[in-house]
Amino acid sequence: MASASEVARYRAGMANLLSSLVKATGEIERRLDIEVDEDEGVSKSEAWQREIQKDPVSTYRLVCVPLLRKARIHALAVLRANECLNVHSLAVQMRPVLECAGQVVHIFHYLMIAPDFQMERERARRLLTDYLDADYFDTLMRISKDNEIQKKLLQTISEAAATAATEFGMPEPKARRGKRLRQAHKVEMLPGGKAWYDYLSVNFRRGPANWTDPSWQGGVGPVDMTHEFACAGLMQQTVEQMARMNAYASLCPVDDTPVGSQADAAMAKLHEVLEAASDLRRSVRSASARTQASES
Amino acid sequence: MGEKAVEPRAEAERELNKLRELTRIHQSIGELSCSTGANDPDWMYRLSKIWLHARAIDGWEIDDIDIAHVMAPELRAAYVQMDAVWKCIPPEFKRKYGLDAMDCDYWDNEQSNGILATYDHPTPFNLIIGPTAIGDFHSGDPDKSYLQLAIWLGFLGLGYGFALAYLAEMLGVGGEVVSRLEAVMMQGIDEPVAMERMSSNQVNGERLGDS
Repeated sequence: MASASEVARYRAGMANLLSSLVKATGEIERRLDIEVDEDEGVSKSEAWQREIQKDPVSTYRLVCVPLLRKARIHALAVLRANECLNVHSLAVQMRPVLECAGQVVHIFHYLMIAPDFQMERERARRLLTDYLDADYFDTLMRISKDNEIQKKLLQTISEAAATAATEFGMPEPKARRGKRLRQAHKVEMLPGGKAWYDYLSVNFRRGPANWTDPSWQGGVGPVDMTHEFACAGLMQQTVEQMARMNAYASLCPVDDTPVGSQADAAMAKLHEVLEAASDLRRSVRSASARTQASES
Repeated sequence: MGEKAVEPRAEAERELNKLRELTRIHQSIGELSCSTGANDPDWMYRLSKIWLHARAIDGWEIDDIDIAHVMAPELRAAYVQMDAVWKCIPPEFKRKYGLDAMDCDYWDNEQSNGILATYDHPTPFNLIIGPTAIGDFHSGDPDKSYLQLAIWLGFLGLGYGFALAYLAEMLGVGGEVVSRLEAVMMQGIDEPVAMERMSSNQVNGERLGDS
């Protein structure tokens, strides 16, 4: 194990990186959000509706902003948990950050990257609309348990899709086969996302409790240096995925502003953060190796 | 509580304060008992997990409705443990406090299928339109969210406080600790249930815990 000061440095470094990412997320969020003039008595929802009617592409801003906000709120809670050395709290707060990050990456990958580099535009669009459609469907179904209301909702959705196909040339609606969103879908676009998500779920969200397991496996034993190490390690993963989320959110189109230079800056920032996080990790690992060598 | 009018945010703050007192009592029990932790039964470790999440919750203030988002993952993880702990408490002990007939599936139902689960699984549309207009960022009715938060905190406090009473008895820590616990519990043992019933009547006749 590395010395206490090396572990503390690793943890403090990760907390600094995460703080700066939270700030950056807030800035992107403000750039993508719409301003509401409260004096005009217009609600946020109405303002968004107007914006989408004016420019349908702003739908992507509408779906991105709440994900960024939610991720930012939970990342702040991650920082708070780190201050209190509460690994359990840190772990459960990290999960929704991963879900938000995974969805932002998914949306802007299929909207902006995949059509140019990975697949035909039509296929990328289908993958993106299928995802958003499944989410919309799931959310509507959750609003009511009442079968009659659900039937009416489904009928309205299918009529709207048929109208869109005949009048606006949208793709023909497919018969719905009850396809639903799986939670793990949301993190699949993140490198290591699924493994981390499962790890957090098993060890922290629903796992049993015991005294002997180390804190990074959900143990509730006395606080020691492994707590600090666990906090730093979990924060590193949060940092990497938040940085990815910010980079992909920067690809979100706003009006007619080209995303090129913004995207380049965002990708450069992503590499810079990944590099810094990896340096901190390397530093604590080599300190640990030095300690082991001197002890043996 | 019956039908009296409630101020949802004040209710949520009151339930949070009760939870704060419970975490302090839990700490006192730990200090007073001779248990080393290493050979305790499973439910005591689960109670420690609840303490960790309750401590995380009680470090926040209810100053903005976004706080429900922050508290939801902690509550959800604590509910998983609460469900397991509740099942380990013998019926005769529950009977002492008149809780033997309580719906003991509440914690599990809420954390697995309720709105609490929805808060913890964000999706774009879920955050835009939200189930029963809470848990989203656009509904514009924070009272519903504050009331829901008060219910969640209240149910955690109810189960946690009661489990602490059982823990105190098991560890032979009585006296002042039990008096403090009873003082918190007696502030309204039936309040979470009453609030939940009231909110069910408010939201289009639907139960808030359903999803």
